[in-house]
Amino acid sequence: MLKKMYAFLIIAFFLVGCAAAPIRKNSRFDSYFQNGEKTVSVVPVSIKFYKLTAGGVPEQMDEWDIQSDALFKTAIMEKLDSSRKIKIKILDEDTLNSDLKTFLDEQTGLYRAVSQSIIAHTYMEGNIFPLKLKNFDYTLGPQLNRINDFIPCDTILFISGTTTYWTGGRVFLGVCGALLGAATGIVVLPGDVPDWVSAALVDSKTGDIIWFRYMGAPNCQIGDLRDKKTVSKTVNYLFREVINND
Amino acid sequence: MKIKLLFILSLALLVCGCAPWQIVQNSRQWRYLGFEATLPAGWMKLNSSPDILFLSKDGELLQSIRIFRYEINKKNALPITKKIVTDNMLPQEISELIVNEMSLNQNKQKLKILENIPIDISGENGFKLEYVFNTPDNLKIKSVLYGFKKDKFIYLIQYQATEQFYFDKDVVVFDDFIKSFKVLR
Amino acid sequence: MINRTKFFDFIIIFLILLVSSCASLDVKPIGNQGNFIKEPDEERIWKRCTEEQEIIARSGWIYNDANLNAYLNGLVVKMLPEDVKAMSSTVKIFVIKNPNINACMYPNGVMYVHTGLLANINDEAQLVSILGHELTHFINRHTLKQFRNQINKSAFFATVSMVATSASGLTTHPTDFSSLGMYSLVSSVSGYSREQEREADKGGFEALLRGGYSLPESVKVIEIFEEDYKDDKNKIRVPYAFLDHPTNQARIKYLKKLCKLYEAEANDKSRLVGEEVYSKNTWDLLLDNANLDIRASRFNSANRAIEKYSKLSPQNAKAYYYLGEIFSNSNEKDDQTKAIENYKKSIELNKDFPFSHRDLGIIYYKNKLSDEARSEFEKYLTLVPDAEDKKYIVTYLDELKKRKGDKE
Repeated sequence: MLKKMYAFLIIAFFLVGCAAAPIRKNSRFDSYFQNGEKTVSVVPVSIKFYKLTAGGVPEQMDEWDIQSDALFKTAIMEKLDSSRKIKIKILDEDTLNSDLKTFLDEQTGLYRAVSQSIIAHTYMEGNIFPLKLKNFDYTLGPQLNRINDFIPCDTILFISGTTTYWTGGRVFLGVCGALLGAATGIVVLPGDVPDWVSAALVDSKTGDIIWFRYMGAPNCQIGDLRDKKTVSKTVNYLFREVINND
Repeated sequence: MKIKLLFILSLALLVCGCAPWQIVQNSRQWRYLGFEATLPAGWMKLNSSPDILFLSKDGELLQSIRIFRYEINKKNALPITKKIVTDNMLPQEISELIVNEMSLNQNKQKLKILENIPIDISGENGFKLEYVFNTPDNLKIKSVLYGFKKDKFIYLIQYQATEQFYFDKDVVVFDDFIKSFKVLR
Repeated sequence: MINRTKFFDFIIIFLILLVSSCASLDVKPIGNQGNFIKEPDEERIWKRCTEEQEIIARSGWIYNDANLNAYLNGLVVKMLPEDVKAMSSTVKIFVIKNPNINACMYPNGVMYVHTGLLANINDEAQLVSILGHELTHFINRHTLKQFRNQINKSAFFATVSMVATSASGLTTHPTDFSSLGMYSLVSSVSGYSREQEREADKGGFEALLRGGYSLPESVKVIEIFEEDYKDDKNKIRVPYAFLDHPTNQARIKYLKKLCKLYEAEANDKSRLVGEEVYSKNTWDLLLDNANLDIRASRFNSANRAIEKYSKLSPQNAKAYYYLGEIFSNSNEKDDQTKAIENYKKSIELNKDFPFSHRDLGIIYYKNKLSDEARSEFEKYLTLVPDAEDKKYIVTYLDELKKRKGDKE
C-alpha cells in the first residue's frame, strides 16, 4: 500500500524534464546563418502567467509577466548574443508611438495564432497536417517588413506561451488526491491546464518562420519561469540548435 | 484555451481510433447534403458533424473553408437575436439578419461590413457578405460568406482567414471552390 | 491495511483546515482612509480592468454623444460623497450601444451604462439612483471582496467535491478554467452578494437623499427593470451557483422600507425629479436605441421608446419608420398590414425619408404587388442613388420587369 502511495506521488508530482520535442524548421534554416551575422530583434515576450488557487480560480499575474520578460531577455543576450552568428537587439516598447505599438501588438497576436496552429498541426498526434510537417512554410507574411522602419534587423525573435502556477492549497489538494487515490483506488485530480512556451525566429523581410520550437504538454512540464536558473535552462533548451550551430 | 481543447480532442480521438483530419489527396468531387463541390488538393478536411464541411490548409485559426446549414422556421435558429429565418425571407433580409447577429456578438469587435450584394449561386438567388472584425485578442480576421435558401434550409459557404497574409493567399482557392459548387437537382 | 473510515475522517478535517487559508474580506471603503492605497491583488485587478477597458474602447461599442457624456460625467462628480471627492478624476462614465437594461461598475472607477438603460428610465432622479448604486460598489470595493470570497468559496467547494467524488467512486476533474478573464469569471459566476447589492441599493437611495431628489423614484427604477424582465423573452440566465441574489421584488420591498424610514422626505413633492433635463440630454438616444432593440427582437422595449419620443415629437417620420420595422420584423398575424400603415404614415410626414420607401417596396414585392413595389424602389433609388443595398434593389426591379414581361 505504501509503495502504491509513493508511486502516485511520484507520477503526479515528480514529473520533471522534457522528452525532446523536435524543432520545426524552414528549408532555409540550415543555410540561414551561414551568410554572415544576423541581427535578431527580440520583441516583448508574450507569456501569460496565471496563479491557480485550490478552487481553480485563475488570476493573471502581471508582475510575473514583466519579471519573466526581463529574465528571458537577459538569458537571450547572454546565450545568443555570444554566438558568432547572431547579434541581438532588444526592442524597447517605450520608444514606440501608439501606431507602431498597435502594429507590434497585431504581429504578436498573429504570431500567437500561427504558433498555436504549428503546435496543433505539426506536434499533436491525430491533428497532424502532413504537408505542413513536410514542407514547414508557416509565415506571418511580408507585411512584417514594416518592423524594419523602426528597428532594422534581419530576423525577429518571438516568444509566447501560457503557464500556470498552483498555490500551496492546490498543491496540497493534489497530494491528497494522490493519497485518496492510493487508499481507494480512485484517482481524483484538482484540474489541470497544459502550459506551453514557443519560440520562433522569423525572417523580418518575408515573415517566414525559419525555426520554431515548442515546450509543453504532452511532452514537457514548464518550470518556474520567474526563476533565473529555470529561464536560463529554458533558453538553453529552446535555442540549442541555434546556439550549437556555431 | 484553444491548445487545451485541441489537446483533449487529439487524445479523445486517438482513444476511439478516429483521425479528426483527412488530407484531400487529389482534387475530388464531394457530394453531400444535396450539392457537390471540388475540394482543393492538399487541404485537410475535418471529419466532424455531417451537417458541416470544414477545410483548412494551415490550421483553422489561420484560414478555413466551410459549408454549414440552418433549418428554416426552426425556433431560436440564431443564438443572440433569437430571430428565426422564415421561408418568405429574401436573401437581403437573411443577410441583414446575419449582420445583426454578428454585430451583437462580443467576440466580433470592430465589425465592418465591406460588401453585401445579391449573387447567383448555382442558379439559386443568394447573397455575398464580406466583412472584417477583430477577435478579443486583437487578431484581425476577414471573411466571405455566401448564402442561399433551398428547400427547408439556409446553406452558408464561408471562407475565413487572418486579414494579414492568409486571406489573400488562399482566396483564389476559395473562388475556385465556389465556382465548382453545384446544387444537385 | 489502512482503516478507510478513519483515514477519510483525518483527510477531510486536515483538508478543510489547510485549504481554508482565507484571503481577508475586511476591506475599508475608499475615502475612509486618507490617501487611498490599493492592496497588491487590487493593483492587479485594476490593471486587468484597464486592459479590458482598452478592448472596449477600440471595440466600436461606445455610443459617442458628447453632450450626453458631459451630462453623465458632470452628474456623477456632483454626486460623489465628500470623503470620496478626491477620487473624482478616477470616476468616468461611458455609454455602450446595447439595448439591454444594464450598467456595470469596474473596481477602478470606470462605469459603463447601456443605451438600453438610459432609454428605459424617465428622469434624472432615477438616473441618480442607478449611478449611486453603481458608485457604492466602487466606493465599498465590492469586487475585491467578491474576488477574495470567490477564491475562498471555490477552494471549499473544490475540497468537498474532491472528497465526495472519491467516496462515491467516480473519476473526475471537479474544477477547470472557465475563463482566463478575471471579471468574466467573477461577474458571470457569482455577481455581487445579496449583502453587497443591498448596500448598493442603500447607496443609491442615499444619493437621492443627499442630492434633494425624489425618493420614490428609487422604487420606480426597479419597477422598470421588473417590467422589462417580464417582457423580454431573451433573458440571460446567470448561473448563480454559489450565491443568492436579491430579486426585483425584494429590492422594491427594501427601498419602500427606506422610503418609510424617511417618510417626510419621501412625501415631499418639491424634491427634484428632473424629467425635463433628463429628456433633453437623452433625446437622440431614444430612437437610436429603438433601432438596437428592433435588431435584437426586443419589440416591446422599442415600442416604449418610440412612444416616449413621439410624446414630444409626435409627427416624426423616423419614429413611424421604426414602428413599421417593428411590425415588419415580428411575424405575427396582421403585422404586415400594420407595417404598411406605419411606412405610409412615415412617407406622408416626410416623402423624402428613403427607408420607408424601400421597406414598403419589399413588402409589396413579396406580395407580388408589382407596380406598387416598382414605384417605391424607384423612389428609393432616386433619393439615395448610391445606396449600400442598391444592387439588391436593382435585382428586384429586374425581376419585376421580368414578371411584367411574362404577363404580357
